[in-house]
Amino acid sequence: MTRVNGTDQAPEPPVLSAERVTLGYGGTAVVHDVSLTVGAGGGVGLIGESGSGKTTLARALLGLLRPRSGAIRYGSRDLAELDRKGWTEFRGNVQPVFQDGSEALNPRMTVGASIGEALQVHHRMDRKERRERIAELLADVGLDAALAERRPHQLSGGQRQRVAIARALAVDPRVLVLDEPTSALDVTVQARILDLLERLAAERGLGYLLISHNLGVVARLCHTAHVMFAGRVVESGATLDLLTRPAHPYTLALRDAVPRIGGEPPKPAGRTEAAPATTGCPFRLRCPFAVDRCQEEAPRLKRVGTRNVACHRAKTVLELSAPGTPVEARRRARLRRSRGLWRRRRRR
Amino acid sequence: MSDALISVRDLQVRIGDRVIATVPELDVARGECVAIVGESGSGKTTTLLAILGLLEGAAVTGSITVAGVDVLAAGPAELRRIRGSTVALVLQSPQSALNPTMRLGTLMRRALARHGVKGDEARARAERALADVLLPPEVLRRYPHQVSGGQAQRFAIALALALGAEVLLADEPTSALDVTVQAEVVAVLRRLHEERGLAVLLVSHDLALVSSIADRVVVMKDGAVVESGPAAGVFARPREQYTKDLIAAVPRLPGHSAEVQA
Repeated sequence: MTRVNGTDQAPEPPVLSAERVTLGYGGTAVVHDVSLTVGAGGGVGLIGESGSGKTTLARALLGLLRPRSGAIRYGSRDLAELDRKGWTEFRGNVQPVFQDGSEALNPRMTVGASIGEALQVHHRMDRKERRERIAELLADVGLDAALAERRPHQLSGGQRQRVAIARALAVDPRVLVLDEPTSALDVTVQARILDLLERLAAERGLGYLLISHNLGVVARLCHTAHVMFAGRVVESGATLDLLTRPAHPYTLALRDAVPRIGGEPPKPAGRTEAAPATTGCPFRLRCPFAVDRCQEEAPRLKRVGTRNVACHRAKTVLELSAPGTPVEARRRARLRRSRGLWRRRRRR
Repeated sequence: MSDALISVRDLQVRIGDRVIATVPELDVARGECVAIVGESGSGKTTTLLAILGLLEGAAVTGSITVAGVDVLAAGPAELRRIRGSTVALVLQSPQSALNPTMRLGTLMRRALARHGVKGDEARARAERALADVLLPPEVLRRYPHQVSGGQAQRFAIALALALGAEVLLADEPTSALDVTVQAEVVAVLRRLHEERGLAVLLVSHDLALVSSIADRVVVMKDGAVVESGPAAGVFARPREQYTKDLIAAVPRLPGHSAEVQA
């Protein structure tokens, strides 16, 4: 069972970690050699386009998919070696929240009963305690306790998603795995859920892995972020560094594509249709920085400054990506010309 | 009358006794991008459907003129004519709007045939329209599920162009797409807008996107227009508290400034 780390008080292992995992379905691997950790008290972001393997990785971290190689660890234990009791403990501490809250809720049960079920399984509370706790959990996510009597279809999408989060929190987990938790919601509802997650991290030390295509959401909640492209982590490090000065052209493309209030229209950079290259760097066919070397040799994840980047041109990208540098302006101008788009500035 | 392609006055949509959308005034001129923003249930999509004359079972009053045609008085044949050849609808999920059993080429051919365009003329128009949205002609051989979301969305736009639509009604056209793909679709729309004077009436909950591409914006809440005006002004100096709240709720990237006076 629990391995003891000797007597010299080794640092506590992260709650959840992936160690060089390769994941796949059927004959194809879709996630390659990815390592990351999720600890207590804050968020770790996972960014990337659809099809980049984010959700597959999340499934593996939830114990729903066995790695082909590498290991998913809960504390210091490999999920593959957990016994029944170990799994119960794992499920009580690592909870998922998916994009569509209604998937997590039984349509035939009132949402109160759905939340109560989790309490019964993991905490063996009696009926009165359960009712109080349900009301408390609903209040935590900003919902009226009276909603406990409703069924999922009687709630709005935002309410359902908040119920799904309340249900995940019911067992008092240490880590949430959130897969696009707010992408179906209105911005004001989203803002409330982000506030809640921030508060839970600060107050209870809740940790989370947050999958989102919304870089603004990741920037707000996650101190660390990993950018995935075609099943590989291409850049990881402090979220603020990654987004203010990307070192990978893909991170740069993602960041520059985000529209901003009062800003220029989002900028396309490289054709997204190009399938990931099977030789050399997978991103090279979309990459405005690609050189011959990218065709010949797949870049490995290397330390550049404070982050890890898998790009032969990382140093160049890093130099160019600081916002507002004249070089950056020139590069952008060149890209615009070469694509024949954005010929005219927006009319004021 | 001005050169407004779409002109809405005193629109009110009711279902039973309930008023679900009220729009006192909304114009879309040639070459203009007008956006309706608001949260779910604010009446954005209802307004769009009313303009197309697609609200069955609801009581629609006021006046809606599309390219000179009075939508509320027009018969089914006339409505069919303006839908497609004057106004075209682009939906959030194009893959579900495209018939899954037909190749994109068949879809394109049938749509053109319905508007009386056949043979070489149809082929030429289809090719031109695909080139305009940066799609290779090969996509015509594919089924909707064989193309990506961004390609399907650009195909939907191409369909509208081939029919000669002058104004696109786009309902959350990029909400289901990755930001990078969204940037491509937006680039295509903007180029058509600038080169061809294509007008767009965009419905979106993405305020940042709207702020960066729309000329004018209409903010709706609970079925009513809260605020409207030139996009630059509304986003820099929102007058209504609701608009301020909406703008404040948009998560920002580091370096994105919040130029809103609370």
